[in-house]
Amino acid sequence: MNTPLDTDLPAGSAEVVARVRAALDEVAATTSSTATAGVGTGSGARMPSRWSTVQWVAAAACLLAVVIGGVLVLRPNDREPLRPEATDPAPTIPVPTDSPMPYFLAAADFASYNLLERPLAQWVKPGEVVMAWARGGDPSQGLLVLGVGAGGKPLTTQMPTMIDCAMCNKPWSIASFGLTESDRDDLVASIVPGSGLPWVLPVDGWELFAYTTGEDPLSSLFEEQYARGDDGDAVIRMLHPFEALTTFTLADEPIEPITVAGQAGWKLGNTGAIWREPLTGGWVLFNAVDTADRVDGLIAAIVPTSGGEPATSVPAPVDNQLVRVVSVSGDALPVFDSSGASDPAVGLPIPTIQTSAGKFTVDGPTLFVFVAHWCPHCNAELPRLIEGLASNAFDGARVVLVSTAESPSAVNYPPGEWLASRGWTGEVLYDASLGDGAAGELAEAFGASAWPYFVMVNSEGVVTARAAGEREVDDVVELINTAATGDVVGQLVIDAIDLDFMVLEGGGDHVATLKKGPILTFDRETGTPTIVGHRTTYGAPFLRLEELQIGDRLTFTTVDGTRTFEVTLVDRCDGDEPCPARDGDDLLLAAFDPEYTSNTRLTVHATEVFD
Amino acid sequence: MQSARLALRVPLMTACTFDDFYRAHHADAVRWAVALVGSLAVAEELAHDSLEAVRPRLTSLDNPAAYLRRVVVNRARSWHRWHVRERRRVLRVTAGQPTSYTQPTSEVLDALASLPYRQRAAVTLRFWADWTDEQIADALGCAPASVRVLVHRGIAALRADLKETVE
Repeated sequence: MNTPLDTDLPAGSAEVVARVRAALDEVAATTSSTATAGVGTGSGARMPSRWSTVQWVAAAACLLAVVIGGVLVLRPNDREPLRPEATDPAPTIPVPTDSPMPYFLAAADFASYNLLERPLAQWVKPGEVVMAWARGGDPSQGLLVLGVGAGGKPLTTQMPTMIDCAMCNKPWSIASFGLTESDRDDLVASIVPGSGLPWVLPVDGWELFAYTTGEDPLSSLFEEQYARGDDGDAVIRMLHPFEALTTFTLADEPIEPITVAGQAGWKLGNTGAIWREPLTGGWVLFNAVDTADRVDGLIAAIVPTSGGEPATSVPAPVDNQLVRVVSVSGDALPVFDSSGASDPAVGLPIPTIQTSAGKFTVDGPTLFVFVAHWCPHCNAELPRLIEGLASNAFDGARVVLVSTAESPSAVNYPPGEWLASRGWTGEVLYDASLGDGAAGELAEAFGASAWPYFVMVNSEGVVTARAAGEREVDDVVELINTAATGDVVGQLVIDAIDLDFMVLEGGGDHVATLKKGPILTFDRETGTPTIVGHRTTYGAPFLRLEELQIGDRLTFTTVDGTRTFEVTLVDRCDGDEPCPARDGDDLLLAAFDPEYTSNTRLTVHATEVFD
Repeated sequence: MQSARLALRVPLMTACTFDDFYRAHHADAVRWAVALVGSLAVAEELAHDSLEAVRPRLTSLDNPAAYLRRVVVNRARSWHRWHVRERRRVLRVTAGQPTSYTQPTSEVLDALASLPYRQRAAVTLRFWADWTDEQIADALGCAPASVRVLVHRGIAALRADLKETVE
């Protein structure tokens, strides 16, 4: 809370402010613990004065929607009102004031004036270059836009200073806002060819505000990031990973290593250079680079801002590379209601999930755990999940943590850093919120109603259990077991009907296990061992069960040895359950008919023999 | 044979429903209210009322936090007006001897309470709640430049007021 004062406050103000702070601190004293946990502090860095030493000269590809040709896009009276909310203090690294990047363009310039819905690149034609300068960096105070190239409309005014400029014999156009005609003409007359850039407006108080070329495939990547990035003081936190750019744009482009202001980078054909920005780990792209030796004069970096001023610190790079949910399709699961006696979602397939890393494939029992960073119960649950993973208690299941319902103004934002700082090293899926603190698309499709939210899915992609709320590791294991298929317990041989099958333990998911072979269960009433198997499908182990006669023998061999049984009764009963065990029954064999095939349950009763 | 179905029931006290989003902002709202009214008890009530006001609109708001700030500032303004009226009445009745009729106060809190509301809001929100000038401007419904003027005047008024009490 050490906010520096404006230099224009009267003398003695510091003491007054200190007394005000002390008085309010005292009033708030009993809530200090909760306040620090939840406080959304204001802008992290309040600069006492404008960063006037930096010249806003060069620009990376920008997304400001400015139209050439007279369509009014800047309406000073109804511009966007405010900057978005500041966030809680997150891990930060300082921005060195002597950064190797000589020129900076404030990212806030891109965020606050979202004038048109369509991004700039769509308005600018291939071969066109658009540049815009704003008085004081604020377009509402005056904006001069120069467009050159195929799409420009020639003006009558000449630009004598642009002789010998490579593009100067191309048609060009000027649009201006908030300027008189004569002012505009004066400014235009001042435009000169710049080092490496087509043009520079070297007039005091006028700052380069926007620059772009048409149909640059790399700008579309910026657009995507920009469109998502309008969520705080840092507009473009991280550009796309170089690998993505490689596959997207460099297939046809020659790649040459170059040095850009002392930084190793790559030149992309004739249109750009790219290098890694050391502060944030993001990639910086610069357009319209003609030759390597001119790049040194054109370097720009996109930096985060805080409260409209360049920030003195930036968020530390996030370790967790979050895989994002891109789209969800298929039928949504019914909303989870923990008070219901049975969950209608059990047995239903989960929706199809497309992620930024490709389609999400279920290749085994999978536990989805939906968490919200601000939810205290999720925070309490995280250590248990970490312990469960570390102790191998969750073995046999793939645990996917889904970060959802994020809220930039609440604690622990952003979620990627939160998970990393809490020590979660497992799989994470990022489900973008559909509104401040609201559930994301994936959470909604899975029927989430509260956090933390668990959905257990078996290897077939079918839900076997759901739950909401904190739970102990053992309870999570119980959830996981609902999708477990059993291991082999023994071998069943019945010579009379040529039956020879391995029998499995039921596991958590009997239905799934049954598809692999007959399973060993226990009669609910008497505990009598019961071997259940499919009669007509999945290998049809019990296809000929009804041919058994009283007296036929069968053997069941386990690790403990072979036991022999003799059939005493072949029976049929109504309903879904095997016939109840009778006195003297030591083993039952029951056919598991698929639904809708028969109303009676074939059951073979057998007793053990020891001869 | 039925596959085993586990009825896993968990009391929802251990889960965060969507409503808990408000609880995540409660501490903030209380702090902002403290800045504006100088009393923890009043601030708690104000914060609760403000969160309730935002609650039905949560899903339709683009920026609920900004809306919450506005609501807190407006409700505190109403309270401030009432409080100032009350205070004047009490001062009249007690012949100028201020009494702590609501809660313990201090000369600084008194001085803050004497400021015009917008000056008070600008000063305390900026220097104690760490709002940006833009956030203050949005909540007060004025331009950021006006906020700077309010801060300037507020500080000057406080300085004069506190200097008097010291001397």
